[in-house]
Amino acid sequence: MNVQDLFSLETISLDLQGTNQDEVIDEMVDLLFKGDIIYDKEEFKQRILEREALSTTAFGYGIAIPHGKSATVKKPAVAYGCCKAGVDYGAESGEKTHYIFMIAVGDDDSNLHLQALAQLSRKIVHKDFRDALIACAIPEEVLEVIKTV
Amino acid sequence: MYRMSKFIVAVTGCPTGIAHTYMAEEALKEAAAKRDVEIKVETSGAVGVENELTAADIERCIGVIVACDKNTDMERFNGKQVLETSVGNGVKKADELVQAILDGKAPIRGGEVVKDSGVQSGNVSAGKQIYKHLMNGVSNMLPFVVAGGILTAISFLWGIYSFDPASDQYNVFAAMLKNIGGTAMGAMVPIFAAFIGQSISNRPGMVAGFVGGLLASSTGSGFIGGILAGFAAGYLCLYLVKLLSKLPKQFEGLKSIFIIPLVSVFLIGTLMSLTAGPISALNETMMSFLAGLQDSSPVLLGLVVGCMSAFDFGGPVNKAAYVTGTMLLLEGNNYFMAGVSAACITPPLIIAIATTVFRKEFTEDERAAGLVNYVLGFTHITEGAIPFVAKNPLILIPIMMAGSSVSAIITYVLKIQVPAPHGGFLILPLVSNPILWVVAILIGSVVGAILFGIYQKSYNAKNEKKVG
Repeated sequence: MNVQDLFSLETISLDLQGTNQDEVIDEMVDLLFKGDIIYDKEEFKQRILEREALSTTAFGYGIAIPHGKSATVKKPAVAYGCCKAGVDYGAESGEKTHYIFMIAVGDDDSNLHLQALAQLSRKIVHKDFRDALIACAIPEEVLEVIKTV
Repeated sequence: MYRMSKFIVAVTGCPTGIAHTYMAEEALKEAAAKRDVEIKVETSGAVGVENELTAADIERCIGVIVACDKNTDMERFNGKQVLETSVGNGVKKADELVQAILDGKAPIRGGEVVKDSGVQSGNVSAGKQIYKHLMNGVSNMLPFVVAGGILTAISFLWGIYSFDPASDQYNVFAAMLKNIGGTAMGAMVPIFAAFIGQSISNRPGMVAGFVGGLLASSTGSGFIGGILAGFAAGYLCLYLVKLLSKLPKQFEGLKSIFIIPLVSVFLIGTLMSLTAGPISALNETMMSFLAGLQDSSPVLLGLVVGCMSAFDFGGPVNKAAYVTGTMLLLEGNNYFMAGVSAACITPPLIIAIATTVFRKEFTEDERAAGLVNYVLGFTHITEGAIPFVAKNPLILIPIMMAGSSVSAIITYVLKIQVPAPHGGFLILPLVSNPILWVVAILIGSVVGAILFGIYQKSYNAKNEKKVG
């Protein structure tokens, strides 16, 4: 299981239009729905919000990693969105969030998938990787960067 | 023990355990590396707890960082400096956290210091325990077998009687090699029994197990006797230690160097002496049965050896076949080992060939691992197949068994002789008919590889269907 297998062009958007957290989450959930990753948008959004309620997934550097685990997920995947204007995603530092990885995992997905996600998460901590992502202008480039994970 | 760099431990975890757990892990590792500090991070994620901190880790560390949004056992950190924070801070403030521990700024966690209670970790199943003890014996024994067996085999290059001064093949160096090799091989059963005992009850078990193993060796109880000696010694000493734990403290020294060794060696020695007759008879029957099988029905023998060798790839069942082979080698039977070796070499080669021929069905990583399996196969390291087989043992083990059996059957039918117990294709010059032997192994491997490829194809097809 490679990290890149979790991404696809359909679930990457470099032009999110939302102006607040809720709108951005809706857009990201939409990407997952259109990419044929989830059956039910409402159900999945609920899981995402539940996780956010525990503690924000915006951890700084302008990045947030909302994630949900639900039976409505057909196959594990990651949607990536970039919002140029930035939104307040509840980061403790008060900074705006521009880059969002939305992770969808099924209820009984195998360890291999989880390990791939763990790998991606570790990578996000590194500055080189984030800088490379930020430099992407088109979704194809994002996939190229992901391949380096 | 004095250590140059400081050591800290950490626990990371978040409720879903998908992302932040590992981000915090990475951030803390990076922060520690920057300061030249050694760190071990236990991750409590969706995959379960990985990299679990041991009592020794906690004992050794100068401080603990708990960046965790879910419950973790905190009692174990009593008496240490502990920083407790959210997993989010673990990611964001890793630098400050590590620095605070280094500066000794974190509060010391109160409460009674919990000591690790002892040798046995209570909740592991009995079967797993026994397996663990057995494998401790096997893994300590193997280097003796390999070194001894190969040296002995090399001495045969001067002729099979080169060790015998009466023979005209006699060569001083060859005689020496055979003597060294034979001594190392002779240590096989004692070491095996000693380390089973050691695994169960540390040094007391090791002593009684070793003596029991020596007796098993000299009385002809062999490998089966060794298993008996090791386990009996281990559990007997565990019991003795418990029985004598009521003795006053002054007797502590006397107990461990006098009473326990004396009583346990006497009891195990008696047990081995009394059982020597029946066990060696059993051994002889089994060996002569197997040796007979190799003449009367090589196909059946090949099937049995093939299935045993590919059953657990280096585990006890595989080793049972392997050790029988080495025992028979000691008795001058070079046929049996040929089939065992062939069957052990086959599984990694199946993987290697399958990933080469059915390239498209495997990921890049798997193909790279497949290449390594060529080397592992050529050198008789069956374990190379484990990572692949582990993905679906119920289907893949029978496939490996089929391939291994084919290799072994052809080897037995052709009556090929292999005088060395290990070494894979490195010992080809010693094999009676090297070309046929390699061909036999390749046929088995190709059969297995085709089955594996077909399985992988249908697996991939099925998965795509599910996805799309």
